[in-house]
Order: sequence, then structure tokens, then C-alpha cells
Amino acid sequence: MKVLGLDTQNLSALLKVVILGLIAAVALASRLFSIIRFESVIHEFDPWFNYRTTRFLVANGFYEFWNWFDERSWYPLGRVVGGTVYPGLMVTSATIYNILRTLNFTVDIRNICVLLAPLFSAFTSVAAYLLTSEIKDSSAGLLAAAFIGVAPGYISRSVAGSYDNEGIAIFLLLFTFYLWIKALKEGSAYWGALTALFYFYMVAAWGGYVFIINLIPLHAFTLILMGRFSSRLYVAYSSFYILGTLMSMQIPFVGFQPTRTSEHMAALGIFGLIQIIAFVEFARSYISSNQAQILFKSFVVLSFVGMLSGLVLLTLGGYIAPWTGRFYSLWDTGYAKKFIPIIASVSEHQPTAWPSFFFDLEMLIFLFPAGIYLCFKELRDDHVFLILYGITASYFAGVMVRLMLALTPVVCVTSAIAISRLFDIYLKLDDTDKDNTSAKNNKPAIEKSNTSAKSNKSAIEKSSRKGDASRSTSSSTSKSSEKKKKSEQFRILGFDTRILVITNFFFFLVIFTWHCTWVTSNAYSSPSIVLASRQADGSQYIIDDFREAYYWLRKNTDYSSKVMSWWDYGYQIAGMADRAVLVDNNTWNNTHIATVGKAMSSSEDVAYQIMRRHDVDYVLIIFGGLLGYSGDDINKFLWMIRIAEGVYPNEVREVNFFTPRGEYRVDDEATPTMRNSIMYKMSYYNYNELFGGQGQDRVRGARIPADKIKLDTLEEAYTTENWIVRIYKVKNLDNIGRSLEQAGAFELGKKKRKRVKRAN
Amino acid sequence: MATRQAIVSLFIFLVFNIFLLAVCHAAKPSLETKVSALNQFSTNNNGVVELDSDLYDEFVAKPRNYSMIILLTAMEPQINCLPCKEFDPEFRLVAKSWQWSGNDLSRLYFGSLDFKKGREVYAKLHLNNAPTMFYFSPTTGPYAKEVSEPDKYEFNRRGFSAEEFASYLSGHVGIKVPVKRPINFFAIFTTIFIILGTLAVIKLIFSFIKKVFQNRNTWAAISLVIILMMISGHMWNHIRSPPYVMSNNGQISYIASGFSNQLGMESQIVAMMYAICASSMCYLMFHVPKIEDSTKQRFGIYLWTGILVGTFSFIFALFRIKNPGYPFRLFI
Repeated sequence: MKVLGLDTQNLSALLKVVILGLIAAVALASRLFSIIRFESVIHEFDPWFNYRTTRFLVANGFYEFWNWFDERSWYPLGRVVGGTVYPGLMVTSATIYNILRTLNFTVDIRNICVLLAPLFSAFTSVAAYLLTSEIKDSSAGLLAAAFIGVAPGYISRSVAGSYDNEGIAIFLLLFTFYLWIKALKEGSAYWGALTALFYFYMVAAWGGYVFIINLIPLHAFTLILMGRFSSRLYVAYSSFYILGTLMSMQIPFVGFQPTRTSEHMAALGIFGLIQIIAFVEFARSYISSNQAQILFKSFVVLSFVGMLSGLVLLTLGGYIAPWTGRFYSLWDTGYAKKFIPIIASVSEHQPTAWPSFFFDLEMLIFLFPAGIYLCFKELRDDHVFLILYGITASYFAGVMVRLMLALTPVVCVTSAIAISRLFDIYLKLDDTDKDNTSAKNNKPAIEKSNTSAKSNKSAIEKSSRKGDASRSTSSSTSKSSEKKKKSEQFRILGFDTRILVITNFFFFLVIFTWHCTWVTSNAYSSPSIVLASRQADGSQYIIDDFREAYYWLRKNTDYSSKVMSWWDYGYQIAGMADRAVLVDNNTWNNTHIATVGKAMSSSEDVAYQIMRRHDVDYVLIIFGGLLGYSGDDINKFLWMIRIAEGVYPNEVREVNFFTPRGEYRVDDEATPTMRNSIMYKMSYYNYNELFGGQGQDRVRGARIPADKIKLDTLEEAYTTENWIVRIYKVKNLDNIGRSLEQAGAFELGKKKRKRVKRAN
Repeated sequence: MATRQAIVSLFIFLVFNIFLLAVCHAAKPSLETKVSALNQFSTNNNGVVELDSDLYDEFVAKPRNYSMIILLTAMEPQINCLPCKEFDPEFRLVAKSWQWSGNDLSRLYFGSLDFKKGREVYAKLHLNNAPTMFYFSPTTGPYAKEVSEPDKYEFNRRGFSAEEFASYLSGHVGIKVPVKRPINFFAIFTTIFIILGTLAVIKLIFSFIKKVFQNRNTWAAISLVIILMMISGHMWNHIRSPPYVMSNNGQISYIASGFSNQLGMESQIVAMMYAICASSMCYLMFHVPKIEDSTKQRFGIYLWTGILVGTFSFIFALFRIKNPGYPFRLFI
């Protein structure tokens, strides 16, 4: 049979390519909402740092980038950017930029950065296709590609403009897993080396590479425990581990961590174990007495126990660093809140309630367990991998909202396997006629025979290591099991039932795409530096206060001015205003952040001293009271206090900011400490005048105390249109040596009071 | 006669004087008597001084050359103060450990004041919740501090554990306050017994256990249970420990309002719904196609599809409660 001059096989290959291309196009297109609604702009916080470094890389070249010491952040400490950054993202976009340049496409680097994540999502869907077709067949692969292309769990981190490590890392994660499965199946060092190569790219791109370097050893270990050790596993794992570790150590930020930290020890331990087992297997093929077998087994177990205790001893002795706080808090979930408030304060590190799972995955969330069950039904080596990936990732996603990103790929793959399995059964029309099953001219049959051939092959390979004696028996059992399978063949007898199930699931899939599009458009496409609201007549109203304020800073302040703000806004100030900041989103120095927190939560005279010591010229705060923007600094204030209290427990006390009844208030009942803190003063300074009476805070639903707020050491420099950003200038010391409080009183026309004098 | 009268009046005078002296002592006892009283009270009662309103005033009054931590608690059953009951043994444990620590005992005293005996103190301090704990630092002597206000122990932040309480005290007093939990021999023996018993049982039914252990269905069940728990927000419950159900004016609600909020029961309902959906998928894939009889098969397919659609639309409805702006629904 020929269509368009192609036989069926070629036609189906062509169709696959076309479908996959369309899926990639959809994956890219559905991430463009934010560009269409707003403009091509970098989003949120971290992307601004990545964008800034990418610009630096493009302007100054790789060598300069590697040695870059940034003295304009973490003032006065500075930051070694080259050594504390995962450079994969920046290098990727710089490479694309340079390639386009050589081809004479003069594209702005910003547009490349904005569109990088959508581009890599298109690649991700291809990687999902490859992985799933390796595990089941190409129809499941296409479904998986479609799922991951539109699943909101992944879109949340990869819309246009969200120029962050995760944008490319998920592609690398999936592709590395695909290569690992391939390497394990083929047992070839070539695929193992490729796995290592993409693992290296992943290490260069995202700190989440730790997931790979623990999941693959876990897979290997589980296979060993299941008695499935094979030369294929040995070759794949050894080549991956050696090359991958050596390459990963080339990233300065990683350095010698693979040999010195607990996160990497599982991989090292499995590497050692696998060598011992390989040796034992080798020796076993020459000695076959029963006693020797027991000896070998106990040797393996003993060496495993020995390695484990050696690891524990080394950790206790301090030669191997224990788990870092960020990873440790995944196990001991109460740890971060107690000891590292700065990690606990980030909203994306909160645990996940069930609505988030449904919001991000919709129907896939219940197809996922069904798919895992399906994996258990077949349970080849690659299914074991999917199961382990599913369990670990669902745990991590439960602990941290952010890690939903790592769960989404496996959910897509397993759900695609489940759905395509269902479609295989209910769409196979010739199933009623048993003779036709062997006919090669329909697609599912081809796939089926392919998979059965594969499983046959693996059975033979498995048996080959057992020696010739067991070979014949094992292959005969596999044949008999195949026969049994044929007699149990699945078939659907009624036509109406097929129609029912197929339409039902078709409908489900349609709802799924509606859901994904709705979520993408409504929840994940806001750049968060530009806000949008609807006016009474339904027209869109753009709130652009952030950029207004940063642009004001850029144009009206000295290039060497230092801006103090809470760390959330550090990257944005550095990126958009191009001014030095005290703290930023890198959060590497807790004490420095606590100092800023202390300044914000102290009274004017204490804060003034801190600010003078740190050469602060401007203070920038976010205030949402007028507009009802809830992510403002007064709401983040408690974290500032908490972090400051962790370092300065005697000077900042959280209790002092709560009313005796334990409430956090800003109105008349606010505590004196609260009302004297410069954060409170700066937020509500002159706010009452705007209302001509008592001001109304729309976020906290409170009336602001009527008495006028007096600021002596700070003066209002700029307040944006909707009052979201307020910038204050730190006053210089008084010309004639008075304290600023006295000077302020003098300006107001008050006489010097005796009490003030005595205080001096 | 005159002399006798003089003697009597002298005697009366003396008695009066002694009485006066005693009254003075009662009104303002010297530091030494306070310390000796504290020592006596605390050694007699495993390191805890049981206070009443008068004693409270007496020991808290300045000058103090000792630190004092005072727990204001309410152990009466009718008040039913669960945190008080939770903290009380921990408090006594730290006090006892302090007694046996070999440190200078007069540095720190542990006082406990029950609501029953100290209503006046509660009223004076405007306290309306228990337990509350205050730390009074010494005002005279080598360890005197300038702080005049007592420091309030933050139960919300620090919790009820003895270790946390001891580290708080260590920070204030300046010496390490130890915690020595008594060894619970009974618990140790029961654990050993249980372990041995389990080992024996394992030995007895080893072949059966091995079969179960190597059975893939066992592992499938374990994995699926873990996954279902995780994707229905079990970790959120574990970290935030929400109430299981909420009763509002006698009405019990199973669903918490708010997108990032849930109740214990709610996540179990959701897990159950997911499990039903997933298993109806599995029935459609594995069970139904094997049925040879076409009527039975048709019935099975309609049944499981119905269950799937019904449950899924229920999940949609549940999600719309959590997220009122959500536009999609399925039948209901």
C-alpha cells in the first residue's frame, strides 16, 4: 500500500517527524503569552542576574567572565561571579548569540535570553519523545512529548522571559536520563560517555544535577539488589561515572565537591560496589563450588558494609562534608525553619498542598500512578528507573513547591505510557481476528513485535551470564511465557465500548489542553516586574512602578551610589538600575543579610549608624498599601526580623513586633518597636497626607495612625506612580555637627529643648 | 512590786521587740534567708520550688543574687491546659538535671506556680494564657545584670522540649544547663523483646516473607501508596500539621478554604479519589479486556468508565472549591 509515493513505514516515520515538529512548535508558542501581553522583557528576580552576567559574557568574552569579580554587589564584600555561578545558561545563550552573529542575524542578546527557555522546552518535548519511545514505543513517545510541551508544572519555570537555569536544565535532565537508559540497554561505553557529556552540561547549568548523580546510582543499586547485575550495567555505569565526575569537576563552582561532599558519595560508593561485583562475577565463572559462591556473596556484602562504615567515619572525621543545609532540609523538613530561616523564607521552598499538584498536572496526576503500576507489570530495567524516579520526585515535589519541576517529566512519561497502552487496546481493530496479529502492516503490531524482540534479547543477554547450562532453560521459559501471553491476548469485543472509551479519553485530553492553556495564560505568564490589572471598563491597566523606580535610580543618582534594599530586589537593582547593592538574591552571606534586616527593623538612630557604616546612599522599599499589592516589604518584614534575630538576638526581638495578643499590626495598636522601625516609617511616610486624613492600607486592611511620621535621617527621594516603590536618600552628617534629630527639630522651627541637650 | 512590774514590762517589751523583729523579717526577709529557703524548697522537691502568690512576690523581689526561672502553669484538670501538661515533665526534668549537674546550685532556681495557688499573680501580670515562663536575672552579686525586666520564654518559637529550654537557660545564666533524660529501662527491654520476637517470627515464616519480599505486587503496592500520599499533599500535612477536620459552630468541614491550605482529612479524600481514578484506568487496561463474555465485558467497561468520569468530575468540583476562579468542570 502506498500513499503519496511512500510505503507505510516511511509514511509513519514522516508522520512522526511532522507531529513531533508540531508539538515542539506548540510547546514554544504556548510560552509566548507574556511577550504578547506585555513585551519581550526579563522576568522576576534571578533571571535579571543571569541576564546581567550574560551581557557581561557577550561583551567581555569568556575569559573575563571566568575571572569576573563583581564589586557592585554585596557591597562592600563583592562577589566572585565566575567561581560562584553555574555558567551553562549564560554560555548557551552567548553561543547562540555568536552563531547568529556569524550568520549575520543581528539579534539583541535580550531577545535570545527571553526566548531561550521556550526554545529549550521544544527540545524537552523531543527528549521526552526519545525517552518514552525507548521505554515503550513511539506513539507513547509522541503523547509524552505533547504532555510535557503543555504541562503547567514545567511551563511555570519556562515561559518566555523566565531566563533561569531550570529553563534549560529540565531538557538536560530528561536527555541525560534518555541517554542513561540507552546506555544501559545497549551496554555500550559510547552511550555511557554521551550520558556523562550531558551530565556535564547539566552540572554546568543547574544545582539540581545532584538529583541525577543520586538517582542513577540508586537505579544501579536497585538493579543489583534485584539480581540484575549485568555487564551492560557495569559498562554503562562505570563509563558514566568516571567521565561524568571528571568533567563535572571542571566547573569551578563544583570543584572538588564530587570527592568531598556527602551528596556525591552514593555515586562513588556504587561505583566501588559495582567494581567488586564485576570482579566476583568474573571469578565466579571460573570457580563454581557452592562454598566459593557463599564466600563471594559474603565478600560483596562485607565490602559494602565496610564502605558504608568508612563513609560514616570519614564524614564524622570531617573529611567529607555532610549534606548542605539546602539538601538536608529536604530530609529533615523542620531543619530549615529552625536553623536557616533564609531558606525557609523563600516562597518556592514551601511544601506543596494538593491543589498545586492538580493545578500543575491536572489529569496526569492520576494517570501517573496508573503508569507506575504499568511499569510494575513489565518491570524491565528501564521501568525500574521510571519507578524510582517517580517515587523520589513525588517526595521532593511534596516537600518543596519548586521541585514540582522535577516531578513533571516523569509524570508526563508515565501518563503517556498509560494512555497509549489504553489506546493500543481500544484502537486495535483487527484484534478480533487472531490471525492478523502477526501481520506487519499495522503500526501497533510492529511496535509490539519490536518490544517483544527487545525483551527476548534482554532475556538472552541475561541468561548469557549464567553460563551455557542455564541458557537453554531460560530461553525456553521465555518462549513459553510468550505463548501464554498470546493466549491471554487483550481484546475488546463490542464496538460501542471502544467508541465510549476512546471518546471519553479524547474528551479528557481536550479538557487537559484547555486547562493547561488557561493556567499558562492566567497564572504563569506574568513577568512580575510589570503588573497588570483591569479597570472598571474592562481595559487593561499596566502597573510599571518597578521599572519606573529603577530607571529613576539609573538616571538620577551617582554611578557609585549604594542602594540598600531587602535581598529580593538586589538582582533587579543591579540589572535595571545598575547601582551597587548591599545584598542580593545570591544569599551567600547570612550575616550581611541579617545586618540589612537589622537596619530595617531598628529605630532611626541605630539604622543610621548601620547605613553610614555601609556607605548607603539610598534605601529602596516596596510598599503595596495603596494598590493592594500583597508581596510588599511590610509583609516580608517578619522574615527580615527573624533573620536579623538569628544573628543579633539581643538587639532585634521578634516578640517586640507583636501586640500582647500576638497579632502583627500596623494600625493604632502597632507596638512602639514596630512604629519606630525605619521600615514602618518609610512605608507610611507622608501616606496620611495622600488621604488628607487617616490613610488606609489596602493590603492589611488597616487604618494608619493619624500622627505624622517624622524622619530625621532619611529624606524621601522618589515615590512611584502607584507608591509601590519608595526610595529614600540617607542624609549626610549635619554641616555644623548637630545630630540629625536636632537639625530636624531646628528646621521645624522648634527651640532646642533642654532635654535634648542633656541627652547629649 | 515595782521591780516585778518593771520586769514584766521589760518582758513585754522584749516580746514586742521580738515580735516586731519577726514582722520585719516577714515583710522583708534578708537575702540569706531567701536563698536558704529556696535551697531548702528546691532540694526537697527535686529542684523545683512550688510557689504560691506570697512566695512568688518574696522570691521575685529585688535584690536577687540568683537567677530564677518561673513557670506559670495551670495543671488543674478542669482547666484542661494540654501544653501545660506537655511541658511540665520537661521543666521538671531540666530542674532535676540541674540539681545533679554539680554546678553551684544557688545560681539558678526553678519555680513553678500553679494557677490554683497564684490567681493574684495571674491577675497582677494580666496573664490570660498558660503556660507562661519568666526568667529573672540576678540584680546583685557577681552575676548581676542590668536588665530589670524579666525575660519571657517564647513557647511559640522554641517549643516544649527540655533541650531547647535548657539551651535557653544556658544562654541566660552563662553556664551550660544540662539535660539528662533518665534511662527508661522498661522501654529498652520492651524494644529488645520486640526485636527478638520479630526476628523469631521472621525465622519461623522466612519462606513466606521471602516470597512476599520478592513479590513485585508488594513493591508495587508500597510504591503506589507512597506516590499517592505524596501527590495528595501528605508532606504538607507533615510539615504544617493542620487539624484533621475543622468544626465550625457544630458543623464539621472537611475542606479548608484557600488554594495553599488543606486539612488532614481533605488530603486523604483526594488520595482516595486519585486511587479510584488510577485503578479504574488499570481495570480498563488489564482486567476488562480479558473477559471473554461480551456482555460482561461491555458491562465492565461501562461501569469503570462511569466510575472514572464520576470521580474525575468530583475532583474537579473539589478543586473549584479550593480555587473559585477555576473555569472548568465536568458534569457537576
